[in-house]
Amino acid sequence: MLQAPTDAPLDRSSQLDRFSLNALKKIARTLNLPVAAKDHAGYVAALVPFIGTPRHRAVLERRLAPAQWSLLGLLSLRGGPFRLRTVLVALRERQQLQPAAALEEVERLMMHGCLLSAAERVGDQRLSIDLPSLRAGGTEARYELAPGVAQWARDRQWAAPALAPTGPPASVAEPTFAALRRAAFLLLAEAARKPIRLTRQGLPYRPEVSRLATALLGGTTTTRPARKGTGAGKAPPVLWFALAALLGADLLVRQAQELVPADAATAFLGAPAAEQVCRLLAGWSRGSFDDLARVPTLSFSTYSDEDGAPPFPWVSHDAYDGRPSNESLTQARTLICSLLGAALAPNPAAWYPVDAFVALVYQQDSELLFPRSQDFALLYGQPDPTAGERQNAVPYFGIRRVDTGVTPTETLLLYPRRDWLEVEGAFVRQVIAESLRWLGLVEVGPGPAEPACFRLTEIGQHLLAGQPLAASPLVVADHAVVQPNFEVVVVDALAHGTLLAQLDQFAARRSLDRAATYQLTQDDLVRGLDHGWTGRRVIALLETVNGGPLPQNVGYTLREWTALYERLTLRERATVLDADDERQLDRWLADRELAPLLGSRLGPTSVHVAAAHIGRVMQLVAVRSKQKPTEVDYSRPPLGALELRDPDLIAIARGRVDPYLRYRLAAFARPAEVAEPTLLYRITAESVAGAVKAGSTGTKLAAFLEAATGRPLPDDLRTRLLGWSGAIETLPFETLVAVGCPAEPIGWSALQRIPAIGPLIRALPRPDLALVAPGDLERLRAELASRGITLRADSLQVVDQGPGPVNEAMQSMLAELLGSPLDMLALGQKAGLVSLRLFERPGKGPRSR
Amino acid sequence: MPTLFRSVAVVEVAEATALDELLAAGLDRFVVRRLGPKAAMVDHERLDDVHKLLKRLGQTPRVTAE
Repeated sequence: MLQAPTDAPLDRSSQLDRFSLNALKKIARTLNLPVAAKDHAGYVAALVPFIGTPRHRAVLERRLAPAQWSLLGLLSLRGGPFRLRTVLVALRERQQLQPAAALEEVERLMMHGCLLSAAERVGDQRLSIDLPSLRAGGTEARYELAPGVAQWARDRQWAAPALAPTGPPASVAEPTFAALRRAAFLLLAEAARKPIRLTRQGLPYRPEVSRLATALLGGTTTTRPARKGTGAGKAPPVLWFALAALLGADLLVRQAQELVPADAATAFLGAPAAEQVCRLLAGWSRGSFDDLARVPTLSFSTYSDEDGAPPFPWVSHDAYDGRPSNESLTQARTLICSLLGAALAPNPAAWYPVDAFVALVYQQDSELLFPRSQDFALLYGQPDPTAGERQNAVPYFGIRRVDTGVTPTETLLLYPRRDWLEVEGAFVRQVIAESLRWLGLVEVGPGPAEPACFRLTEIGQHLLAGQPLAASPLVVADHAVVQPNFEVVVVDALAHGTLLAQLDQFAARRSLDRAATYQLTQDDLVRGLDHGWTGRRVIALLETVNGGPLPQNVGYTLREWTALYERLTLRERATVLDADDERQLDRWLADRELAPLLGSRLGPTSVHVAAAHIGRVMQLVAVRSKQKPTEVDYSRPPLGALELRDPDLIAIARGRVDPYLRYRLAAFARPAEVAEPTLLYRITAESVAGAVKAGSTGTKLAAFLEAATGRPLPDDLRTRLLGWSGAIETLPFETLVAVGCPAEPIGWSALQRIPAIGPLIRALPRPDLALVAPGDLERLRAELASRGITLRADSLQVVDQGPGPVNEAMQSMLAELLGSPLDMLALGQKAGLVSLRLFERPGKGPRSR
Repeated sequence: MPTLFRSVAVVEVAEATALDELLAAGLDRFVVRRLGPKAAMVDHERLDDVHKLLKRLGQTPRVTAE
């Protein structure tokens, strides 16, 4: 029988701990249990060994009336916690009790230790057993049956709900567990291949959904990217169902923002069908699949997906959108499964009318998904004379009939009291016709859409009605055929989940249906070998499932691919220990304590060390060689190892020389003269060009040197590196004439505003200096002469290029002139590629020399 | 003094001739230091290039982190 999985079972001690001392005293007194202690802990300690025992049962057998046992039997169908509302509604509708009497009934059951609180205790607040406290707790307060009570109620032959069988349908829609099993396998396989990335809301990203849908619809996965658009936006409902069931069953688990298969997934894939169904049934029951969203006759204003697309069948976590909560769905699904087991137990193999079962569910719980009784009326029994009419006037929130375009809007509204069958009843139908069919628990007839009747399958009878499962034929061995074209065909694929999971690790899945087809490729074999398979294991597995030797070409090629793989190893972040000489390493490898910690010998003086052994190896080597080994970590820049000297020298302290530093320097510099105690390298145009030819760039070289020195490069060195590496494009230049004019009494700013003169001035680096194109000089001379100003040729001293207003103006001007940053010009100047001379009259510059 | 090099990339082959062939085929430009006949330390910052080269040479190396 399916158990409600939302709440982990609590021990009796913590259940009883939620009661106040007075409540515990009432329980002990009602059960005639003598308690010597006087404090809360003492009462709890006295009640714990009594509740749920045969002595407790004996008291209940004497005290409880048949109606009370019947209520307990009804509550046992919940399989877990339930709300006070559920009990009060049941007492009102089945025993016609008024609220006060119903609450007294609840109080009696609590005092007999039958009902325990399932609510979390808030602070020191504990539960009392009296009418005011029950009312104060509200109708949403959660309770559960005490241990053992559910079984005792069933044993009393309570008035279990029953259904009358019907005749078999003309045609039968068989269960579709194969589709669910396939979806579950593909989800686990895809998550194992590459974790499924999740959004903040905990749903897979759209590209991930596309990937999963592609695998499901096409059945093909390879190491190559899927074809664009395949399966995108076409995720079939069974994919969401499988995802929810796997998550609910903890077979897919969340790691940070990704989903990965749980360790138990491998065992699940290899388990018999009945065990798989059992696991998925529990997962679906507690999972996030929204069966109500799948009812085709309903539309949902809050299900926002693409226009025209079916509603998204996933539980909403928006408390205000009116959709059933995960908890409501879980409790409803648990009740449906429990009722199926209870009602069909007398004749579990018979066919039953769906409508009759829906009516039975209504009898057990008219508030299956949505409450419809007012809290106040349930607790106080003071019904508002108009309450019934008002309630009838409140429609289901956010749920309507599907608009066919011809129905008047007002008739699309659905009301709980009038239209329960169309909403919650339709939910029950949907669960039977789709969810339970996917799970392989029922078959329906005459068709899958709107079935009239249903019957439990053999697995359904076993899991829901407790019938023994007929022994399944023994599976002799996994069965597959390995073909000369490197295809592996697995017959009856979904019955061999373990084999499929193994093949998925080293072969490319091409299709998965009744049979699965895999292709053996070198890339996929390497993928498997990377994940721990060996060539020998792969071949042994294939020979086993093939029932004999592999085709000769396949076996030969697999061995060849394996040999190719095994003959070359690339360790990406290895640790290598260098001895001082060959004899020292020989001694280490003969050392009983040290040798087992060392890996393979890589050369005369080098040995590989596994990361796990580094610490111990370092200790032992320090002891053996009487000095602490030097450590060089290549993941960190060799900070401070280099010293740069303008314009082109790189110096290394001898103590800091290591192979990688030499290798990096040798890539773009040439050894220069030896100057103890340092090694010198010189960068030359040829050495830098050689590095660029080998794939490096000036920027990368500069970055390496800056990282190694921990400071900015000297200007000249940087300039040479960038210039020689070709990082600086050829710079444009133009010869201009500098013309001086003191700012007072009239400066170049005023002259520039004269229309005849302004266009002749190329730039004003300073108020007293204008730059003019040589070709415009005579015209400028004439324009100035016509205004009484004459020019004379003179030599002006070079202006310092230091920072200051002149330089800023110069930068601005040159940037305008050249259309490129001044930095490039400055670099060009330093590299000797361009020259720029500025002139002014003697004594007028701010820093003349 | 013994030296421990961490985070280095190492190419290791089963036969010495294989390494010579790889070096001759272009791997030499990534070699930081040849450790022995069957192993060489390669540039850990240019592993992508090393992978591309090996793939071009038809090699399917066993790739391990350490």
